[in-house]
Amino acid sequence: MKKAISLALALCLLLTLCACGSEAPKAPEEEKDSAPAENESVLDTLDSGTEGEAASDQKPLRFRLKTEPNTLDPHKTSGTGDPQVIQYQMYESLFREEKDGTIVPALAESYELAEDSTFIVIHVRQGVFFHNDTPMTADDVVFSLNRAIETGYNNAYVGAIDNVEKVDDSTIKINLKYAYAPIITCLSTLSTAIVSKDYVETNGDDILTRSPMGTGPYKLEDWVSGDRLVFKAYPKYWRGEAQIKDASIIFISDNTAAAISLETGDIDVMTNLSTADIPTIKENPELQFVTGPAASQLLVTFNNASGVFADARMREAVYLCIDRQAIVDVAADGYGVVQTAPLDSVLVECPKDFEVPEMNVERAKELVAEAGYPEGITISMPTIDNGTYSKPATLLKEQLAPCGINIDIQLMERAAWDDMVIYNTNYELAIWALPITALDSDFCASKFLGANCGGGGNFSNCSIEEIDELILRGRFLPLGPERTENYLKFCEAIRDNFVVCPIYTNMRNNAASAHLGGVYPSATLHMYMYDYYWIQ
Amino acid sequence: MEKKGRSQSGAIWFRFQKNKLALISLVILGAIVLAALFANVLIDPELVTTTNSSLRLQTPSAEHWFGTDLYGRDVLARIVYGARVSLTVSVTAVFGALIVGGLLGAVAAYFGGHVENIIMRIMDIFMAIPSLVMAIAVVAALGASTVNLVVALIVARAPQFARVVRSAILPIRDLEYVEAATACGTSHRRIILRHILPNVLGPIIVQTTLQMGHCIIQIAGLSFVGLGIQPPTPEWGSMLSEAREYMRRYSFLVVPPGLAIMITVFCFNRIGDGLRDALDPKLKN
Repeated sequence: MKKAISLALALCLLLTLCACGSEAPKAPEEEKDSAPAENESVLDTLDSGTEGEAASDQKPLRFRLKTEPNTLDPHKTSGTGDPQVIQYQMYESLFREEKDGTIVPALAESYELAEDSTFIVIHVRQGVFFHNDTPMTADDVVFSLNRAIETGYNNAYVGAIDNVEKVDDSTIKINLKYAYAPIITCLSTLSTAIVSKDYVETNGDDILTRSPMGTGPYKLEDWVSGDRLVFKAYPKYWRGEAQIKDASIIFISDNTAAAISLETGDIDVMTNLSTADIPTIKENPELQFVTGPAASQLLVTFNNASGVFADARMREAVYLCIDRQAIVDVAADGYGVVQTAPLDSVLVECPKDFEVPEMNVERAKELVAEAGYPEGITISMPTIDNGTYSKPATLLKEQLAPCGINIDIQLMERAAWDDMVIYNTNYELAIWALPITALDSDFCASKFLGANCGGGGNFSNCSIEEIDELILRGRFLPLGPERTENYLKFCEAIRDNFVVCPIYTNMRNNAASAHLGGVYPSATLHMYMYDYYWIQ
Repeated sequence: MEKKGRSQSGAIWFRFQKNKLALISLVILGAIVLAALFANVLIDPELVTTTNSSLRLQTPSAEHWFGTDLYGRDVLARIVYGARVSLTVSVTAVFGALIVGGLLGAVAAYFGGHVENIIMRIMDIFMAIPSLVMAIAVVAALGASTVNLVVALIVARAPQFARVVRSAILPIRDLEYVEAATACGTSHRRIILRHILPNVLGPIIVQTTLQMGHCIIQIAGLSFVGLGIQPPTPEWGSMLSEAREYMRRYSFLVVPPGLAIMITVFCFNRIGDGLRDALDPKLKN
């Protein structure tokens, strides 16, 4: 009897080990050979590099992201970054941002934008299928855009849309509340992704949370909570089936652990590479380091309306004390670019070599004294508990000390910080990254529009008529010298009023197996697995 | 085999020093405490927080014995000043917990009945929550600062003291000398503080020493996750956390804070063990 029990226990243990061994490294769909034994699955992990060369496109792709999303519903996603990367694989919008940042028609076949930018007529692409093999129609487009407006998550991108009407089976017309030049860019974001009307109406509005239904190149096969998303190339995809048939997105929250997984061959591509790991990745001939500037910059934001920094002299003092290069060297290990203009550097309108006041600690000291703090002042600075923010905060504290501004760094988790700084603007100064998910200067500039104060839109509480006028004017202007000139004036106004103090542009540091082709850095994280292929 | 005429503390010391490991621990801990006390004499305080991007991530050398961290700060200086922070916070927190928990435990044991039931059941509720989780909850609610960290540690540690003190008092509560004191009309306060507590000092001292070690680990843990000591104040846990990212290429960065935590906690535990043996009259040979 005892023997039987111990035998059973031993078997259980063996099964557990077996499950652990085979789960991590491979996508379930891959095993075509008959029931691999435990040893084989371990070998799979070790030999994945060489095996790939032989099996070429049949090799599954394993893409690492940091955080698992709560929802896959494109119209109900808040925040930027990882959720978008996932949705780009399954969903498409009327337009698409290509890897060079240009916007091309996607589910729109063609379009006519009214001369005064007050409406846009779109001819919907024919022969596009949802993942349940039903064709996409103008009804789906109208339904999706209306849904995006109704959910309330997407005001930044659909706020300008008044209504959407169906003209005929393949044409729709979008009427705008006011002339809005960046509308095409808005229609390229996932906020305006096209979902299946029938599918949502039949299964209920919440179905898209875990069971997406889009037109993208990959179809979601399985969601293993806390571990991975498993995808299969959709054969009827309108641009042709993806080259890599099986793919999965694996969640590894620690960046260094992910870098180690990449080195051991457990994953093939990763985002958010820690700058401390870059030298190791670069030295490894089996790996490639892929980097580029992000559509995101780190800046010091002040509460312009109340508190110590409502006094422009105090804000100027900060401007005069900041040594941007020192912050890049230490906080970003040198992988960053000094930034002086308040527009993300990848935007066409971002002025190059934008001049800011030179460092002058003596003058800063005088300004602090003039503002009423000859003995100096101690200010608590809420800081997100994450190296991206706490490292520059540590340096900022040191750089501001000589002029009499003593900072007390107060680390807190992101949600608490968001609540305190973004939604309640209950702060004096903070370090913040200004990220945008689509490339238009208006998305950056709108963060400083007086009308957006409160509610999280404009939390520097800046409300200056001159700046407001420039922002609103920028929205009407089509791309060109006049728009560039307008945004230069905007940058100057932000600088002259010391609204925020830009520090540096972040980099998108990605790493991938050297056998994976088509990997490029995207400023806005438009990373399409569709573009990837195995190098023979 | 003791000599006659030795005072009580002399006897305790005699038994304690027979435990060589405890003795060595006491010497090491003494050195750490002295270094922490005279940190500003030994090392220029400027070295602790002044960043210098041209000196960052240097390997150990004659100039920087433990190397420099990612901000170019001297690691040795930060370890020594970190000892100050760790020891001050843990001593304050453990004594706070001792006073709060000890008094609650003493009152519970002395009065018994409903009072005991209510106090100890509340303590049980506190103990049902892992102390690190409890401390995280308190810090998250109050906000991260050194004072709040101490409060969190007191809340997390007090129930342990309450339990130990109560269990130590229970057997002596009904002894004759307590009854005698009661018969003389001595107040409850005086009986607890002057008659009972001095007689359970042994287990309390042992518990305090052992808790000191736990406390240092907990401070380091909280700082590691960013809820403890705020940067740029040096603290062993936050130093570990900062160095973790660079561990693969600059492994010398994680060793000093890790060893500092390990050695200090080990010393406290050995001393606690030695004291337990020395103070327990039943173990007298």
